Amino acid sequence: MWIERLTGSRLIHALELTAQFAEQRHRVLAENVANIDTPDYHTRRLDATEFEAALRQALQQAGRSGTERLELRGKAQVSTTPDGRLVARPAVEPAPNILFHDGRNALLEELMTDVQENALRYSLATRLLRSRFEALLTAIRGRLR
Amino acid sequence: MIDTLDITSSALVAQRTRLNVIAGNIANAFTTAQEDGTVRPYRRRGVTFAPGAPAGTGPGVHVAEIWEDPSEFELRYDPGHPHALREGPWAGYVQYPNVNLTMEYVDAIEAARAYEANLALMSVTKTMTREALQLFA
Repeated sequence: MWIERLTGSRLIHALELTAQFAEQRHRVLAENVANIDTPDYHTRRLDATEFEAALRQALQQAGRSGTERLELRGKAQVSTTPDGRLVARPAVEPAPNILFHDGRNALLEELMTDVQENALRYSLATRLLRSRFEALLTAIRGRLR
Repeated sequence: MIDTLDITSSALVAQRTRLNVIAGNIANAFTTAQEDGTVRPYRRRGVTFAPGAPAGTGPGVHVAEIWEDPSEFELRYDPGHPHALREGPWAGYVQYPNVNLTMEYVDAIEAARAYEANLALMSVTKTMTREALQLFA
């Protein structure tokens, strides 16, 4: 179907994966902030650079083989299921913190910075998706507005 | 995205419980008798958090326990006080709760900051959800 070719493009899929990743990372960060005063709680982390590396690799792979589907694999934290969804496995932060004697290692400032940075990533992905869909609408209408 | 709000609200509930316990400690910092009238000072209370949603499974945080501080009561010499000890080596002394106001204030500030951090996170979640909904607009 031509509509699938339009909406299933590599770019849209990459943006979808980015939004999904940002959503899951936001969830992990929310959990870390919620447990900021919990004794013996070790923060969990989803590495954004690892996701970006995996996505870049997947884009190159798809470009070489000419397929429109992106597959993230070979990474510990992120991978895609056969139906194109992103599965993330956050890792427990190994770094011990000598500041707190009750076994915590959360740093609130770092967490909040990560939250904001991650929200920007999500915002970027959804806005690009939206502009992409608006471009499609323009093409369907055959005129601007 | 919606269950992220559940995680954050579980933390808001936990921090508010902690703040309530602290408020109870400060309010009873000079209480020398129990509710039923027996002469025994108020014991300082505290909370312990544990990871996990309050209702069964799922991510989040909950109050695992509200405990009573077993440390010694404070003794002050005040023989005219109706609750003063009548006999023993400490006759004439009144037992006051083991509440340290400075410690309670510092704990209250910590709880308030954690509450604020979770509120900030909630507003970020709301913004993200709104952006996702705008995809269909």
